[in-house]
Amino acid sequence: MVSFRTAWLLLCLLLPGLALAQSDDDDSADPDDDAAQDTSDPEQHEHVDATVVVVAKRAADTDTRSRVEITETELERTTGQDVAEAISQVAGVTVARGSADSSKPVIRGQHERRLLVLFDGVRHESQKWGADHATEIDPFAAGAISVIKGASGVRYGPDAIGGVVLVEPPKLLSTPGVDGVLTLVGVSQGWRLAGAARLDFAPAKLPGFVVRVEGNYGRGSSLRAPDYVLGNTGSQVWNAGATLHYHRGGVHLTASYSHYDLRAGIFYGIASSTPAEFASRIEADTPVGADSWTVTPVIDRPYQSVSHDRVTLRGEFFLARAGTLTATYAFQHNHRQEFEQVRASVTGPQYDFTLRTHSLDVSFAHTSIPVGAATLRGGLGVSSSFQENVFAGIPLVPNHRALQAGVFGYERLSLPRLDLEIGARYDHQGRASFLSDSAFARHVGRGTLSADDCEDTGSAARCGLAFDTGSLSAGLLLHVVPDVIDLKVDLSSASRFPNGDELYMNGSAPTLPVYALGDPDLGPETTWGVSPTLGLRLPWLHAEVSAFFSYIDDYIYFAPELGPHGTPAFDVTVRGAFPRFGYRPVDSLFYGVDGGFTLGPAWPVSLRAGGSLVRGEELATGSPLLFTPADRLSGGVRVNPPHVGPLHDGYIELSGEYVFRQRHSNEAADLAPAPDGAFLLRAGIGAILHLPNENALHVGIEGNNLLNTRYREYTSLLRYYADEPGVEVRLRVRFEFHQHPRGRTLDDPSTVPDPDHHPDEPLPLRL
Amino acid sequence: MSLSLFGCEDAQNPDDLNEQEFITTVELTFSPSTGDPLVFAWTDLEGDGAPVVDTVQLAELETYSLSVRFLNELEDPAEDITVEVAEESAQHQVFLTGDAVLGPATGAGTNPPLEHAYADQDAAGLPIGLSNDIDVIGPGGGDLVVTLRHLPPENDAATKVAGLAETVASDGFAAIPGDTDAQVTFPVSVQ
Repeated sequence: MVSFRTAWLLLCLLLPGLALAQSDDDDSADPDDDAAQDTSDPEQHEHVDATVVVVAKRAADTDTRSRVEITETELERTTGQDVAEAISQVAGVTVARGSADSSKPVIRGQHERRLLVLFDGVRHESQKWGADHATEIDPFAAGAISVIKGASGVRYGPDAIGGVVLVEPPKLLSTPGVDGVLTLVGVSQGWRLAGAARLDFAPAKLPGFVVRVEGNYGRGSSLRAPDYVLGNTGSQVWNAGATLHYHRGGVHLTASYSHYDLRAGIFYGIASSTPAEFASRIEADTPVGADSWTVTPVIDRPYQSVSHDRVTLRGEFFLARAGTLTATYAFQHNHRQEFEQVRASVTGPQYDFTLRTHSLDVSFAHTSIPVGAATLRGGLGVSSSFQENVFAGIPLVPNHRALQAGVFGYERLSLPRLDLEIGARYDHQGRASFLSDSAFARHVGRGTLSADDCEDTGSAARCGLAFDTGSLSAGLLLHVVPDVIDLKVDLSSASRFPNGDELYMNGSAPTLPVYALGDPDLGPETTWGVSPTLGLRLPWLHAEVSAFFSYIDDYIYFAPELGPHGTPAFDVTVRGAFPRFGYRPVDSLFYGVDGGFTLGPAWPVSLRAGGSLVRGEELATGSPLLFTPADRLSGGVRVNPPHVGPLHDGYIELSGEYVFRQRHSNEAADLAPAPDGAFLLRAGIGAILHLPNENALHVGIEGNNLLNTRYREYTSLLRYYADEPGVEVRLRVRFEFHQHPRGRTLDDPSTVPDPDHHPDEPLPLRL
Repeated sequence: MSLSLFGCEDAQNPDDLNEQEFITTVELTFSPSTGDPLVFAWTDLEGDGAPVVDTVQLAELETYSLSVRFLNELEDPAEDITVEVAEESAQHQVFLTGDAVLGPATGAGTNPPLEHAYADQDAAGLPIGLSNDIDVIGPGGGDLVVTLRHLPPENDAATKVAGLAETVASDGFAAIPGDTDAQVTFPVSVQ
């Protein structure tokens, strides 16, 4: 839709005009304000660091998009849940559950394929296209998580169509000593037990060196829905990681390694079945065979075994008067094996995916430049990656090699009452897919590839593709009443290159009774979004409401294909006739609103409420897009008791969420009707016991679905097979200890850059 | 330039049949009391959704013994998966359904030409369905659907139990546990 794009570009041009008009008004502003904003003193980078610390707490305020940060305290209360569940407390974020004990985030209706997850500033590269492929991020390694809602292509690169999840490790030690954290968590669902330890060490004899080692192990049995056990949903997970940091003068070097390892049973109920069988099972009250399923830690076929290794090398160079140069190299090795139910003679996995990604990102953030009454901050960068996908198994997706490179720049003009940010980015991807002879023959037979589209390498058909995309962003942050009311208006675009499954998949999908057919002619999809956000921060009321409107050009839509007479097309396989699903480029529109408020955040009793609404539709037909989250409303009351002796930060909370039935679903295209609405009750209680020598014991009990409500989540794959798990109670105990030979005060100025700060984050604005 | 810096698998060499139990062919052998056996096959070597299917043509009022075979003809020589199914007969069962057949897994139907009875048993005395008796009880046609169901134990409890065929007859395949390894449809014609 050209007209929408044109309007979008016009708006982009209009924003700077607004800013200039506003800058005239600002001439009379208090000059002290300007001085306070001037952070152009690069003489001592400690000052820069101090700024960074302040800004890290304010990233949500300075971002021109709706951005929510989940602090360490809030994260702690989700101990025992995975990253997707932890961020689902953010309005506009929902969870898509896979085969059972694994989940993926959904932001403003966009699933993980259209989101970007960054761990420690590195794009998490995995087989995220699979509905049952959980995000391989260790929740114990997260110190804080930020959720950026809306397209963020300029800063973060391709895939950031729906938003970005930034997972940041806890800060490293800034003074000599030892810090440690031991966590134990028990979860009633699946009688899961997990233990985690983290040790930070900064030797006094080796100034500048900081070390971290961490690890955890957890094991759980099958989960239980209110009326039956979800057979074979036990899992076992362990993680290990180490970080070595050294800094001297303006040079900071960090090397880290982490390993993630998961072995998880796939729910017995997700058996391969014919469409007719599938349809009648949907109507059944209880999955077939549920009577014999037991709560056991034994993991049976089918199961998945997944590992993710990550090596990160980062150098940060604080250059006097110029700015900060950051270079990050990362290598990620994602290995996923899926073991189906097979005859005894077959021993190995039926699907084996290896994804290797090397990436190098270099960025430079210049120090602020005074421009009249304003300051200008910004930077530029290049990012590049080389990726190899190696697949073995039942024909599904081809191997590929992809080389990706991007260049971006952004500048932000800050006035006392207004910030304006603009950015641009260009990305290129070259990719070669290697199709087996049989896979290539199938595409040629179907007419989706012609014989001369690909070259014969002897062992495979090599099919080359190249894509180029551009992203633009313009953001306005208006301090309507400084520190009280902020108005943000963001125009951002982002693109996504088609994935291997969308281009070449040819076969029946392992988890759904459909025959999926890729389209090698697909191009990138690009979103053009507008999102106004209004924030209010009074001592007695915090509130934010954010609306969004995104047009997606050539949105790649996975939906049933129709035959010549408008009836569903079927493919006959040895396991029966399956409806054919294809990947079609359709222009689509997503819009909605999300937000919430907290009344009396510092009062002894505070109230909060929130909600989200998303609509996704195909433009040409107006028909709703599948798997768009249902509307939801939440509310809660929290008691914040005063400190009692050594007992601090106590809280008691009761909250609930009502998820409406998704009325805007396309039942003709879906395999099952949308599930009914449901009310879920949650509660939590916890406190911190301060012990001598700054040690502390954190204890809490949190619970989900306390009414043991039977429900199904519209965005989850599991909804086709069974109810979501029932009541869950989590007990967590966390012991923190500190040993600092020379003493340590909370006011120590940091000599280590805030690891939360990455060059791709918004720049500091104010001291 | 060697781009595979870590790991030994090469993106350039796709390997799409690793540890598979792949069935390309379902073969039905009808042996009459006298005379040569009749062989009909359902074959899909390309996996392209367009199988080659023989029409099962039988003589009226004849009695046949029917043996069912499952093959992977992508291997050379073809792999006979029936051997493994027979070895794991406690976890497998073949069902014959469709409007051309009357038997334990079907309803009464309207004048189906074939009548089916299981002619084999596993160690627990439950039918397997690799060997069957087929009586041609009248003229006519219709579909014969051959289903190989894999019924592995779940949480150590057997899922292959007595009465599965009867459950299929009353409530369909959705009402029994297990995975469908094969489900193919043959047209039937009795002259």
